[in-house]
This record gives sequence, structure tokens and C-alpha cells, in this order.
Amino acid sequence: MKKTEFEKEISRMFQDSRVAVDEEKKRQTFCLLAGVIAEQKLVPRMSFPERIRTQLYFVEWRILLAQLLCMLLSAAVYVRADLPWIQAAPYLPAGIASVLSGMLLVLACNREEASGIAELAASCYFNHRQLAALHMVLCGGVQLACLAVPAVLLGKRMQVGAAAMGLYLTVPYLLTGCVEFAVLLTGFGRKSNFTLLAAGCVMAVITGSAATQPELYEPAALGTWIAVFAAVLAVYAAELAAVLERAKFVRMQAAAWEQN
Amino acid sequence: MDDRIRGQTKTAYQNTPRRDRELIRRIQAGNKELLGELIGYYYDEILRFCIWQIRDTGDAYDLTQETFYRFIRSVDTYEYRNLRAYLYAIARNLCVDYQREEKPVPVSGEQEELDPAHGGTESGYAQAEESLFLAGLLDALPAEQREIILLKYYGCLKLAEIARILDVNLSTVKSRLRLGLKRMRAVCGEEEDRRGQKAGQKKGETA
Repeated sequence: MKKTEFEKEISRMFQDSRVAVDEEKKRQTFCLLAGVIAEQKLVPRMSFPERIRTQLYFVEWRILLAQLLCMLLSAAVYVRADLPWIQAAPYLPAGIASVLSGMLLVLACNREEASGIAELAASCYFNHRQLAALHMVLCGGVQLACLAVPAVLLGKRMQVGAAAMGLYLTVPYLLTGCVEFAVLLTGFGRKSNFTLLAAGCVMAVITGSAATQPELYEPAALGTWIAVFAAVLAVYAAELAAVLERAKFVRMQAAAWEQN
Repeated sequence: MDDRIRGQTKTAYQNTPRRDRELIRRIQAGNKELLGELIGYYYDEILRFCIWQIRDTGDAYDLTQETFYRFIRSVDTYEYRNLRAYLYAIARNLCVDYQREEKPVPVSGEQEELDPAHGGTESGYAQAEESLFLAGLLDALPAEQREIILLKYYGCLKLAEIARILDVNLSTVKSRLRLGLKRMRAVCGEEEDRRGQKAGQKKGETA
């Protein structure tokens, strides 16, 4: 007998050999379980969209407002396209806006950390990592939407494709995030937001000087941009994971300290 | 309230993820009356699984009751993946605990608990004989191979789901299944040889 036939035969035998169910015993069990169900107190559970909606109240709104302001300023600069310095360095405002966005996201992350969200999350449905990731996704989504405005204006003006424009703005954004997370990981950033602000300023200066080099934004340099994007994205992900891991460790330390 | 718990007669046990997901969603939203309906869908299947596992009908009812009791207690925090597999996992763990504490599975020849409900017809007797034969095949297997055979061919679960239930690697499940089938095939062969010999002896006697 072939293996498959044998297996089919076993399945058939199981299906055919239905053991009789004692209806009286079954009824007794159902009665008993009905009593358990009646006593059971179910806490209505929120659906996933509802959970996301409740988390919106805990997002750093001041950071998002700063982001909106940043977007409005850069968009306004592109609307006033006749300014001479924009003619010389058209990518400068968008690049700076991108750097500021990257810095604001890490600042938001640090503020949550400093406000003791990790400790609070220990008693919540979501763990700290989930909360941090959720807030970063929400903030990041708003930021990307905000950055899209100057990106569209600039792309229209410079006749650059959407993919290239995306690269020109996301690379400084991610690079700033990498530097800021590195600062956070050294330990200085956790104590003071000024260190993070200073790192952001340095990144803004570097991006600003890069934005004045028109050859960097030529189609020939696109390959380099892609390579840098991939590398920076990998570092960003690794650093973010390290930051969240350390937050968990700090929380465990705090819990152990409280127990002692 | 127990009239809301309805047993469903099914031709074969099936995976109904959409129905189960919807029921769980509504139960967790506060509609606990639906728990009865859910129990009704799975009661017979889990009961028969317990009977196959422990071969003691009386205790199998208790284990099935305990399975659903635990499910009701944990339904608040249950994250839907595969409800059938989840119930099988609870029932299987209870059966393992029972066998560890109480008594081992009876050896072949003591299978009076496995009489199928097929009345006294000829086909009924044939199916009863088949059930006993199947029980004999399962008895020839070590416990870890037997439970995989049961989950695979009685519960119709996927190997990955079985691996999750037993908390072992997928490759371990595959290897135990292969060994179990090999052993069952060997026992089948021995049985056929034995029957052949008996038939030969009878022929000789009549001649």
C-alpha cells in the first residue's frame, strides 16, 4: 500500500469510527458550562482601530505642531521662488526641514522615555516597545506627509522625479535620526534635550552645506544616493532596536530596584 | 441558558476560521452568550479526541468539560489564531496530565469504550471492528507518535499547527509522524499475515 493511500485509509477510519456521544452527559456539561458563562465577567475588548485612536492622545502634539510649522515655513519659501538664495541652493530649505523632522522624532522618543512611559507601560496592555513603535509610526506618518508638501513644490520646480525627490529628503532625515539615536545611546541625550538639539544643529549645518553643491543632485549621483539610503536605513533600524532594547533593560533595572 | 449551547452534527470536522474569528470578536466585544454556540460547535470533536487519547469515556467527558472551562476562563485574553488548534492544545495538555497522574492507555483487547454508535447493523459491526483495529494500531505506537497521528488524521491539523501545540520543531513532528506511520504499516502487515494464517488453518481443518 502506498503511503498516501495508507494515510487516506487512516483518515477514513477515524471519520467512520464516530464514538457515540452520551447526550445526557453532554447536557449536564452544557448546563455546568452555562453557569460558568453566566458568572464570567467579560471586559469588552477594543478593536485595533480603537486602540490606535486612543493612542493618538498620547502622541507628543507639541512635536507634531513644530513639524507642521517647519513644513509651512519650507513650503512658504518655495512659494516665494523668486528669492535669490533659493535660486542658488534650491534644496536647502527642504533639506533643513528634513533634518529638523528627523531630530523632532528622536526628541519625541526621548521625551516619552524621560516621562517614564516605560514604567507606565509595565501595567498596560501594550508593552513599551509596542507603544514606542506605534508613536513613532504615527509621528513619522505625519512627518512624511508634511515633508511631501515641500517635496512636491521642489520637484515641480526642479523637474525632478518623485523617487529621486524622496531620496533627497529621506536620506538627511534618516541620517539625522542615526546621529540622534547614537547620542541617545551614549547616555548624554537621555539627561538633556540640549545635546540632541546640538546634534540636530550640526546635522543641519552639514546638510545645508551639502545642499549648496548642485553636482550632488544630478542624475549621475543617484546611485550614490541609493547606496547611502540603504546603508543609513540599516544603521537607523539597528540603532532604533538598540534604543528600545536599552529602554526595556532600564525598565527591568527600575523594577528590580523597586523590589529591593 | 443551556438551550443556547447547540451541538452541531457535521459530516467531517472542518476548519472554519472566518466563523470562529467572528464569534471570538463578538464574544470579546461583550456578547458572552455566544460562548455557548462556540462550545456547541466543538464539543463532540474535542470529546472524541479525548476518548481516543485516554480511552476512558467517563474521564474523557470530564476532560472535555475542563477544556471548555479553561477556554471560557481565558477567552478574555485569547488572541485569535486558530481556535480549533487552540482547543486541541488545551485538550491535549489535559490528556497528557491525566495520563501522567492517573493511568496509562489500556492495551489492545480492552477497547470496550470505543464502540461506535452504529447500532446492530452489519455495517455497524464492520465499523466497530474497524475502530478496534484502529485502536490496536494506535496502541502499538509510543505516546508522542500516537498524539501526532491523532492530531493529524483525526483533527486534520496542519503539521505546523501540531508543532505549535506540542511545542516542538516542525522537523520533529515530521519525523515522529513518519516513524508512527511506518510502525502502523508494519503492524498492519503483521495483522494481515496473522489473518492469512488463521484463514489457512480454517481451510485445513474443514478439508
